[in-house]
Amino acid sequence: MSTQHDFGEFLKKKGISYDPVPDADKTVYKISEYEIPYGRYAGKVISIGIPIPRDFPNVAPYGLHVKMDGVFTESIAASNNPSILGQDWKFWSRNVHNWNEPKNRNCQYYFDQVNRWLEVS
Amino acid sequence: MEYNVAMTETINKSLVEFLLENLDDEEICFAIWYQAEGSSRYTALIHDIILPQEGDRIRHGTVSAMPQYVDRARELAREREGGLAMIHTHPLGGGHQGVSAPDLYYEQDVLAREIFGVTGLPLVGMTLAGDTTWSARIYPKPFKIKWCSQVRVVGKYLTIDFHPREKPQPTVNQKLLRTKSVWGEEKQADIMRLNVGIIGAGSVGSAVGEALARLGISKIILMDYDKVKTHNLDRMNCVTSMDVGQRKIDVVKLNLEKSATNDNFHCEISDESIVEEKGYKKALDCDVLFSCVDRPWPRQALNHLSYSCLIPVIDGGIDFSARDGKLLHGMYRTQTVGPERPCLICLRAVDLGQVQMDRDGKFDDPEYIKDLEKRTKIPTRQNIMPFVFALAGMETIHFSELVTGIGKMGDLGQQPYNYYPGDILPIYKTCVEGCETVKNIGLGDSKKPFLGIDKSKLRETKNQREDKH
Repeated sequence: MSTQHDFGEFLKKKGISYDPVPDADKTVYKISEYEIPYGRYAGKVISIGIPIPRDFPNVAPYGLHVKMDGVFTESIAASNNPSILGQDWKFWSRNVHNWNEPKNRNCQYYFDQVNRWLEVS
Repeated sequence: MEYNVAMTETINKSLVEFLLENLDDEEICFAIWYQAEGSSRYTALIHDIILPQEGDRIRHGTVSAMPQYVDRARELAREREGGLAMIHTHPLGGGHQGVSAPDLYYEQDVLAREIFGVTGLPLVGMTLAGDTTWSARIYPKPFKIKWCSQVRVVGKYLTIDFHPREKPQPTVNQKLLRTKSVWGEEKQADIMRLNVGIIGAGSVGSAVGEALARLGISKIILMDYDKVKTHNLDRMNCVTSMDVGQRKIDVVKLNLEKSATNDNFHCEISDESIVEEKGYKKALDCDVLFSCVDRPWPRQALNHLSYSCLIPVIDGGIDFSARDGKLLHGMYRTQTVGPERPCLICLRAVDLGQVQMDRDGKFDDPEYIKDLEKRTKIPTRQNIMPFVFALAGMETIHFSELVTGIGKMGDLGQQPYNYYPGDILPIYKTCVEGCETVKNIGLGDSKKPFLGIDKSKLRETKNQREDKH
């Protein structure tokens, strides 16, 4: 079991640098350089923002902020909404599945889902 | 402020087994408790029993705790950041027990100030009679006795021992003749003294309220911030076109007052949200809660409080899906959650993957719903009145069994009804290993769920303001 604070530690351990951006009841972990690991965009470097709720991991994070900077454009995601990270960012509405399983409620499981969203988008 | 004590069936069983093992002398033990502070009710939740060790007490007809036992119990309460309860027996007594002058002196004038000084919480005194009836008192500042109006034991059943003066046994009137004949006068009197909360006064909530008012409940707390809209008219109980634009709680309250069979019926209304501090505290004033909400965040909060604050929650949901006149899926499902029962998360009745989405205000966001319907080609929130009545009926059957135990089952399991093939097959589950909900049992306010600003409520309030102008 991990906590919201642990998510930052998790990113550090992976060698991923981030800026925490407070957003009402959550913190968005803004990652300026993230290399997509799988799929047709594998190897491309993009900027993403991961919104972690204050009571993470009791509830799953919802959605993902993605910067529209050439790799992804507004036409890719079916529902991309304005993002708090700026005008050149979009918020992708995505739900994490099977978070009710206690064994899934951790940083790695969520991060795998983020990679999957990027892979299939 | 009303004072209460609550405990799980497991704690109650352990206490009864120890305290009434030998009936020749009085017996004593201590317990650590945690608080659940509602808007008008303060509950001490008994959590850990501290049994005496060799030489910790002297039994001589009555019983005396030795100083080292009191010191050990007080230090444990301080370490665990809880309050201290001193529990003793009247093995020859039956029914509610008073407190003798020497016991009152010891609790009120000797121990109460000392315990408050160390734990920051008032001393709780409890007496267990030989017939297992509980009585309790509490000593808040300025350390004067306050009798608890009830001691409730929560698990498969909800059993409550009432204080005869604070909550006297009501008279069962002729309007309740048929109901009383089912489970008897005593059980009916118990039902009539319950505080029941209905969270969500929409379709299912209004029908549940109707059933409860006719069962003879004396106090119902209705919570909803929404107004009646035209699209509610095909599913809300006793609501007409004349009511459109009125607050749901006002309309439903009026109906319940007409239907109530209890001569002292009182319906308290609240336009708060259960996921905000004020609404959450209001829910803590109840003995049983009905979860008649259709969003994951409120259900997550209700699930949490049912365990942390020992208040059974009867939950239900309708999932109807039809496209172009063809049924894809039609079901309703009821489950009662709380200590010694599986939680809503393990029962998959709330999706933790959707809670934050709800907090972000997406569930009632017209743009989001429009987009969702466009993608799935299925209108959201499909529902029909027969399902509403059936679900409300099933939920109140769960309530009847919980409080009367007439079926000798207590827990009726999770009951799903499927339109096709038309059967109800109960499912009995337990919480999965590592379930976070059960770790909070009896920890009260020390383990509150995340509460914040309900964006759906904000949107509704804004819409209502705009409508006015």
